[in-house]
This record gives sequence, C-alpha cells and structure tokens, in this order.
Amino acid sequence: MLNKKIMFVGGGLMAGGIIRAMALKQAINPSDMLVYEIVPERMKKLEEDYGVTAVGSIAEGVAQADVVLLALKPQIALSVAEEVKAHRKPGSFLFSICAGLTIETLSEAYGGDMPIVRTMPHGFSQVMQGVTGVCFGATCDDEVRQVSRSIIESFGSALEISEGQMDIFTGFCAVGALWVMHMVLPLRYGACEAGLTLEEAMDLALENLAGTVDLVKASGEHPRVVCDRILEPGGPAVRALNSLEKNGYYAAVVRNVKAGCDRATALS
Amino acid sequence: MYEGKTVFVNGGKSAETLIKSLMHNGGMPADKIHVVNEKLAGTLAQTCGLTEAVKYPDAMYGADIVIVDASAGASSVIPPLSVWLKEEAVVLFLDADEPLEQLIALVGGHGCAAQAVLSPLAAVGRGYSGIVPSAACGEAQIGAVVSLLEGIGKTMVLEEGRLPVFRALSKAEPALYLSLLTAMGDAGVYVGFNREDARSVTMENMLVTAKLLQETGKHPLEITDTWTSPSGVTIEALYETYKTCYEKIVLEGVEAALAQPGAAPK
Repeated sequence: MLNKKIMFVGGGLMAGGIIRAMALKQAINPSDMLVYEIVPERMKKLEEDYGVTAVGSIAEGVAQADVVLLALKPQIALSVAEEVKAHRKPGSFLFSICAGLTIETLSEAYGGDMPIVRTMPHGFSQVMQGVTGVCFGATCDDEVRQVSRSIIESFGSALEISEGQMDIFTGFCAVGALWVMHMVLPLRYGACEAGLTLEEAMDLALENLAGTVDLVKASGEHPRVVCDRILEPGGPAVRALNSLEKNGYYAAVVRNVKAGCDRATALS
Repeated sequence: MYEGKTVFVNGGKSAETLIKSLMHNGGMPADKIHVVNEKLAGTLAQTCGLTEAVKYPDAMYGADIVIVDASAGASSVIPPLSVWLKEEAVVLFLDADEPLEQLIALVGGHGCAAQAVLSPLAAVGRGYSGIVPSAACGEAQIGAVVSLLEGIGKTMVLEEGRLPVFRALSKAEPALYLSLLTAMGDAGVYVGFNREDARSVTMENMLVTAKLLQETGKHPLEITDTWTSPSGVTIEALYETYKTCYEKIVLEGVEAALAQPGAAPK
C-alpha cells in the first residue's frame, strides 16, 4: 500500500476513475486521497463512495500532499499553478494527466524545482485496466518514478516513453481502441445475419478477442505465426484473411493510425 | 471439473488438443482419461503422463462420454460401439463435417450422441466450444458434455442447423483479431514506436475492450460515443475509419468465412 498523500486537483471523470481504482484495489488508504473539486456534489459523492478526504481549497490539500495529481482541463490547469506553488509541501511532485501540457510548460508554471511527471492515461476507469504513457521530467528521482508507477499500476500498466512520443501514443491508442470496437461490430452483425442471436454473436466475439490475446501471449510468437498455425486448408479463417488482403485492410490500418497521430500532434 | 469416465477411441488433432487442454487448463488428472488408440496414447504418454492404451471392449464398460475424433479422417476405423455402451453414455464427435444422424450410424446407432466444434483457442483454455446434442440426449447427458468441455473454455449449445455458422466464426474470428494485431504492429512502427510496445499496447487495448463490453453490457457505439470530444483525436480516427470503409472490409471477411468453400464470391 502506498504510504503517501495524494491531492487530486479536480475530481472529474478521469480523477474519479483513478480514485475508484486506487480505493477498490486498496492501493492507498482512502483518507490519504485528498480531493478538491469545484462541483460540490461531485466531491461529496467521491467522499461518500470511496472515503476520500474532501478539502476546502487547493491550498489546504497541497500543503499536506506528497503528490499533486493535476486532473483539470488543459486550459485551466495552469491557472491554479500559483496557488499550488505558494502552498505545496516541500518535496512534493506534480503528476499531470492533462492532455497536451508539456513538461516544459508545466515546469514554467509550477516552478522549476517541482518534479513533473506527465502521463497520458489510456485506460478505462470502469474496468481498471489500460496502458498509461508516462514520461518524467529531468528532476524526477527514483522515488518519484516508483510512486508514479504505483499510482498508474492501480488502474492499469505503465509504458515509459519519451515526451516526443506522447502525441503518437495518444493517437495510436485512440485509433487502436476504436478499431477493436469497430471490428467487433461487423463480427456481431455478420454472425447475426448468418443465424446467431446478437447476444451469442457478442459473447463469441468477445471471448475470441480476449482468448486470441492469451494465445499470442502464451506462445510468445509473432501473431502471423500464431495465425498460420490455426489455419485449415480451405477453411473459414483463411477465406476471411484472404478477403481482408484483397480489400486493402493492412494499408487501411496503417493510414488510419497515421491520421490519428497527425491529429494528436496538431492538437498539442 | 468433469468426473465421469471419458474414453477417446481414436486419435487426431482435435482429440490431442482436447486431452492436453483438459489436463493443462481443466485440471483433469491423467487417470481420468482413457485412450484406445495406441498411437495417440503413445504420444500422450510421453507428453502428458497418460498411462498405456486401453482396449476394446473393456474400455467401453462404464464409460460416460466416449469421444470420436472426426478430424482423424477416414483412415480411422470405428467399431460399432453401441453394443458395449450403457444406454445413458454419450458419444461425442469432435469437429465432424457430417450430419449427426450419419455419425450415429457410424458407431452402430447409439442414439445418445453430440457433436462438438472446438475453438482454435482451446489450447489456452479460451474460446467457445459449440455443442449439438441429439434428440435422445437428456439434460444429464448435455450437462455432462458441457461440464467436460468447460474444462477447455466456454460452451454454447446449438441446434444442428446453426453449427456451420458457429464453426466458421469460431475459426475465423481469432484470425481476424490476429490480423488487427499484425497491422497495428506495423502501424505503430510506422508512426515511431518500437514493435514490441506497439504490439503490447494493442493487446492491452484488445483485452480492455473485451472486458469493457462484457462488464458494462453496453453497445460498442455507446462506449465509443463517450471517447469522442469535439474536434478531438478519436473523432478524427472515427472519420478515417468511415472513409476507409473499415467495417465493410471486416464484414466481407466474415462473409468469406461463412461462404461455402469454392462458392463464387459475392
């Protein structure tokens, strides 16, 4: 269990998901999660549901906290910097989940001596799983890195990347997740057209989805090698694969990922 | 775990996969599995610690489920098992293409029988096995087959007419997902990731998507609606998805899987 106090500056959807995950996984004593949220009903609900400590101001929270978890919209995240800077506990660090705000920007706003951790959670708080891209500012020591990893691992896994890869990570994850969802859809409708109920089709598609990942992980081999092994001559799998090839599936995937990453870069 | 007496009469790829997965993923001890076919028994003795092959007719006495592997092909000769079997025993045919009635005739007319299509993911204890019981099977027999095959994943009991659809999808879907994983690996490298990271992020996305849909019970589009923000990355990605007719490409893959081999493409 993490023996630190975390101050959540903002208690919206993302912060709420992290709080929920940390509380349910008992990653931290719930009362060590301090929250300031501008919408009082939201803060009260987090307090009631997970036992967090609601504080009356950002200043009150950051004065006690070892970690300042910045969970505000990027456009307002910098406006609270002065209050944090003036009242923060010495030795605390900033853990940002704000999209698009670079370490340099945050460092300028929050003071050069405050270690900055920039993250891009691509998790889904409902299921407490997903990958979070993380990069560390130059002043982050081993303890900051370790605490940050512990926070991230309570709601998924951490992938350390360079800051230059952050936009690519955002685009890649957004497109990837979307494409998985949009692969399930035609499988569901195709199966239903052929005679399975939508529920049967969905159960089959989702079990096969998770099972395929397990198969690749268990084998440790290239997905194509795994695929070749399950093909039967003239069988349905090889017919499906040939159809994808003929329709330019692979080029479409690469093009879409590129477009998503370009968009993420343009927005940053 | 299924605890009845299970006998495998012949050996093929499906029987071997089922036995290995029952032992590895289903926790079935070696002494619960009886194998008549000497070649299969020999292979399994080396890899799984099974004891030596059992012989007709002793092997059939008291058997609850007798498994015939249709993937072993025509060279595998099955004697008329019905004379040795107790009335309530089930003959389970694995991965057969023939109608159940024809299969029942093959083993001497033992009416209590079922067909099963195993998932290509059975080796890791995942995927669905599709089961078609004959009309003579009661709840107890269907329950026994379901219980046995739950040792290697999930099960779906179907009418015989829907088995070809189930078979096509359960074989094709893993291949389609593996294509996505392959393509995302290339796409990741193209935009600047190393292949290992691209693949592990994609696998995580696949697992999370499955979990999210299973746990929330929501329609996929209800979920993706919550991912899109005005002029953001995800809506741009969605626009590209529509432009490339991604779903149409996948749907045509599904249709190809469901088509009869050799049929003219649509």
